[in-house]
Amino acid sequence: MLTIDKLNEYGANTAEGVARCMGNEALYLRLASTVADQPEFAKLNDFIASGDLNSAFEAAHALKGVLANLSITPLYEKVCEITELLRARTDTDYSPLLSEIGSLKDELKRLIDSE
Amino acid sequence: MDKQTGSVSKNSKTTRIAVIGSLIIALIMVLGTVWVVQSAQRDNEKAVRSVSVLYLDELAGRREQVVENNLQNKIRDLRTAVSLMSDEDLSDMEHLQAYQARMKKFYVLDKFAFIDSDGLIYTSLGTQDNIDEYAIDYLNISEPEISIFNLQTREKKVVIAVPVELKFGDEDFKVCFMEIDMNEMLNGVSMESDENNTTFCNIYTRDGVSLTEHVLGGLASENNLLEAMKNAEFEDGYTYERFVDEFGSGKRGEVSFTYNGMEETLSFIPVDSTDWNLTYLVRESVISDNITSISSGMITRGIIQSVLTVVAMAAMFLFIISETRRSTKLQIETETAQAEVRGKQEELDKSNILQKQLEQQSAALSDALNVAEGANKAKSAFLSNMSHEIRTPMNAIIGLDNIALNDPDTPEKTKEYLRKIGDSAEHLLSLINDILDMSRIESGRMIVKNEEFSFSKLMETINTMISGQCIDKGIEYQCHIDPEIADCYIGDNTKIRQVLINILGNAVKFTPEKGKIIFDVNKKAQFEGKTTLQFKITDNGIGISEEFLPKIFEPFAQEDNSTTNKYGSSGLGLAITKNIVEIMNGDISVKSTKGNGATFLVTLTLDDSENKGGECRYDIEPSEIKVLVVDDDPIACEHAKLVLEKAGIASETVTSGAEAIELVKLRQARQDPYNLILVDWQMPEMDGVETTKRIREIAGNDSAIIILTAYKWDDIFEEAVKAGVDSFLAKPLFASTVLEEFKSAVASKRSEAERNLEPVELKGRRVLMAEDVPINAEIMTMILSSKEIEVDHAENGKIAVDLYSQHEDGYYDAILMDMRMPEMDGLEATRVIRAMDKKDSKNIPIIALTANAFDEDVQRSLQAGLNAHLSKPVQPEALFKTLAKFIWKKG
Repeated sequence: MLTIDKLNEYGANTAEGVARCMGNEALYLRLASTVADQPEFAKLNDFIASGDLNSAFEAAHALKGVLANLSITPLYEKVCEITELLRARTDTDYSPLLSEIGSLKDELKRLIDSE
Repeated sequence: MDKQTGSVSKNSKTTRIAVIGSLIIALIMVLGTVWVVQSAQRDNEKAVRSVSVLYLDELAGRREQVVENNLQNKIRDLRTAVSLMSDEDLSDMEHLQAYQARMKKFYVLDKFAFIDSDGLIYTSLGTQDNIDEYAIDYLNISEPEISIFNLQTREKKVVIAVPVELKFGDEDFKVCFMEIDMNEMLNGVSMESDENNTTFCNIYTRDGVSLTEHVLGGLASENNLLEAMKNAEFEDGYTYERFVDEFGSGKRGEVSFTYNGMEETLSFIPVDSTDWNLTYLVRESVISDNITSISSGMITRGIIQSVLTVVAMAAMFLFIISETRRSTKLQIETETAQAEVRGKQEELDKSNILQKQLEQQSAALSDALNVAEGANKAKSAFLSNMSHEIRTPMNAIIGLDNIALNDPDTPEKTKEYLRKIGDSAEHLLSLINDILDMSRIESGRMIVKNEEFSFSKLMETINTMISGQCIDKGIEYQCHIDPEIADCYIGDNTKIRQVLINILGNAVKFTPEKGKIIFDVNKKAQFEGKTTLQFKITDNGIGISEEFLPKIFEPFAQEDNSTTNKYGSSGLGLAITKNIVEIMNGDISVKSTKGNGATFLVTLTLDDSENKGGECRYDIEPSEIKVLVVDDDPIACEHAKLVLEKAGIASETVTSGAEAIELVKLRQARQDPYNLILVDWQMPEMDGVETTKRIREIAGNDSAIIILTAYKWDDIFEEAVKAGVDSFLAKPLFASTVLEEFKSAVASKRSEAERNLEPVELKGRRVLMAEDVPINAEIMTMILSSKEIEVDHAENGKIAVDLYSQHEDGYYDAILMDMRMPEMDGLEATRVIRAMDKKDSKNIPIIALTANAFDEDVQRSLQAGLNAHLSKPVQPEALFKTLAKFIWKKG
């Protein structure tokens, strides 16, 4: 069960996120709870693994939009980083960034699933 | 008396010479006129003759052509008639004659006949054996022949014969011929003489026999032309024999002669494929009669003219003679009278001289005044122009100095020099500004603003500046502000600051170390929405002597000229100060004694502001201002950037109007307009005024635009304001003045905008939203619902296009378009919608939503037809503002 406090602790800018939901805290939390299950995380990994940087960029870009809307700052910053690299189709080793994103996502997932 | 007779006899001699002279002149003129007219007449005749010959030749040639054409047509007709004959037509006499009759009728012929090898003639009426009467060589004919039948009678016929090879029974037809009436043949040829009986036309055989019944001048048609010409008198160098030879041998020619006392010219021309000559005759009598009447008219007029001239000359001579006589008489009378007058005259002269002296003096005075006024004007103009000219290099000096100072590689010692250069340059600039202000005041161009300003902030800036100077110089500075004074007033704070800083600056300048300056501000009165404030500046410096006190506000007045060097000033400061105070309807006075300091009193009345207490409405945080600097000079750009940075203002720079417009477009699309655009006036290709105009077309009233110039802007003021310029700033830039101008521009803009803009009701509007990510869609829906905006959600561009096309025109008020979507992305969807044939497909607002808008992306989306760009995460207020703006724009 996700709470504002947990998210704050995680580093999200909940005030901004709630404000974007026009003050509807319940809606904000409901939406934030779905973040960790966004299929784009898996897609991002798969496309990078298969070398399809175009599709990987699409996935990263979509994630970025969601995270920005909800102001989940730590994940947002990392996803921004990978989005910019992918935008330029940079030929680099993406695995360190991907694992960082993965662990941040998992951490969020734990917050959602915990009591 | 001797003298008189002498002059009379001299007069009569003069008269005689004059009379004889005028007679000679008259004679020469009359003779001259006659000669001129006659020679003109001769030339005329010659000209007429050559023209009439040309004319004759042309007329004759044209008619010959028609006659020849007619003959050729007949030959063609004849051949056609023969070729159309069938075997049946030649089968027997009955058929032959029937055919001949038909042809005769069809071609309007007198006869259509054949000749056999025996010379027998077959006509439509039967056979004839009078072949001898025809001049047809029927046995040897090989090509068309034209001859005349009945040549010697009046019933002349034209006979046209062509060779044929036809079998008629046992006979061979050798020739086919037609017989036509001469008049029929000449159909379309005008042979009639003209109405005046001056030109005649006819056709003759080469033997001189007339082929028509027309007359040729005095020659009847039955008379032989060659015979008749025996009686003609030919012009010089032409003989009868020559005429007979030329006429008989089928040559073309003209001949002039006199026949029966008539001068005539005959032109003759052979008619092709015949032995005929077409003749054209013109009687010169009529022409020469006309010429004669013109010439005699000319002679008459010439003579009358000469006579009139002579009469006029004679009258003039007579008048001159009589005048000479009368003046001789008058001369004597005058001399006597003059002697009497002279006495009186001398007395008058004396008084006249006195009066003249007075007039001269007053004229000299008025001249001197004019010169002085002119010189003053010229001085103002010169100073104004010079100051502006000096500003340009000053601009570069201060700009480069600043840049060099900010270069981290500049050694500290050089920086010290640079700072001193900067100080001197700024001082020089302040002098120039003084001169400019003075010339503005003198030419009545000083304008006073009337805007709300924060009085406390004004005092704060003044105190910061003056207390700093006082600390540097070791002077004690005190400032007391009456607590009754409100925080905001309406007036010109720039000018008030100028006045106060000038007086306070003087106080600092003329007060020695350990001295004291006191600045008191008091509220004196408040009435009808106005407040009178008194500013009192007291120092204990060197003071002002009693003698100099009255002159203290005069331009260039300084008590001790040596102070110019010591204290460094233009000598204009107080003159400007006084003028500005007076323009603001205020008052300034000074009290002082030498050595005991001075006290300046400034009284100003300002309008009260409705805004009581607290912050004034239009205070601006420098960090919130986004500035674009447009200047073709990169150094000026860099300098502006530096100056603005120091004031905490972020700025972008471009070096041309075109680039500026591109940036403004982008910013506009992102709903992030520049607050302030500083535009250099003089730029190549697109100047500041034009740039402003174009920016205004794109950005509307969103940005304040200030023109930068080193030159005076009075001349372009009106044009610039019309183009949308809010204000002007002199180069080089100072952050404080930029902020000042910006504030006033924004202030006037906002009050205008508040008056003009009616808020658009967003409630009840319907928006189509294309967004593929469910979370984003949900948030957007939430945001839009908060304003009671209805939302239709499309999961991708394709669905959005379908939804849009399914609904009637005007169903949606706007479309919010995510850029990256599966199936069809936002750009494509926008293109498809814009290309649709719906009434609102071209102008429905489409607003892009995207997580990262690079300028290139914005550019692409503008091309696709998007109206605006909003970046994710969406700021609800920005979204509402944008929606309101575009829905309102849509109308």
